[in-house]
Amino acid sequence: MSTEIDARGLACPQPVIQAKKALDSIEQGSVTVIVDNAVAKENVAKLARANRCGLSIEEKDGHFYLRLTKDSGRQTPDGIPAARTVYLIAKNTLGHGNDELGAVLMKSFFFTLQAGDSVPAAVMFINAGVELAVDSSPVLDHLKALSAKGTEIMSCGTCLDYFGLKERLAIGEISNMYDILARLEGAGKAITLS
Amino acid sequence: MTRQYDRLLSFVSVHHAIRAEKLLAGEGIKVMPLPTPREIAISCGQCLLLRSGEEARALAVLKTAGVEWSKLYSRDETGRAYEKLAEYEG
Repeated sequence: MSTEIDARGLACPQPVIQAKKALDSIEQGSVTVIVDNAVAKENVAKLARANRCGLSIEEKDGHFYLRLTKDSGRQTPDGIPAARTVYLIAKNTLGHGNDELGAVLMKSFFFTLQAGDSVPAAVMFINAGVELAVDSSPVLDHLKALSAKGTEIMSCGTCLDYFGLKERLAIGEISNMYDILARLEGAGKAITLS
Repeated sequence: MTRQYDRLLSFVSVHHAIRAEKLLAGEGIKVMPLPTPREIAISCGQCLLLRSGEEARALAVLKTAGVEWSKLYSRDETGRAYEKLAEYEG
């Protein structure tokens, strides 16, 4: 849902009042407010920050376009919070077709996962997925951030052994199929990336 | 983790974004790839975060290599507010 408010020519605090009204009327979506002076721009930006909204600002021909985005937190569609979700990662790239693109997508995936307010209960790596948990991993910083927020990071010991990577594990614990199955079966929602 | 990054660079295509990441990392410029934030509505889904202290050097590297970026934004400490600073002019 997207709403646009043209607040050019309006005196303070009208732009803020109209923006607030529009934000209050939506659960999630975006509100674009157009203003014609720096003071109004700053005041609408403050409103966005106070309401924990995302904000992008662009200037065109001396007018400011402020896009405020509101979301209601990341939840799986059936309402299970991310905190009860576990991920099983069976590959070091995301998707099939091109590995260079797959590596880019995997980095984006973990960036987005760790940036959320709510993080998953566990992320478990098997097969070539364990390459993501070793010292040369392109997503190591993201895994550290997830771990710091309480996500359990587990890597299959057999897989680390197979690839000769046991000594290079850089995050989380070495695990086994019993633990992995227990986490999958006990999860609110289990997601496999393979 | 990402608070040190106060600039965001978008690209005209994912190919340019991938090239830029490799080039800048090769020059020792610290960058972080990320999907285009929802706050910014542009076509290419891949952006790079970088630090303002390295902005000029990064843009010079990209210019020399012919990498086409799209827009440069400032990014506040919340990581959710972006203000456009410049557009690519070739």
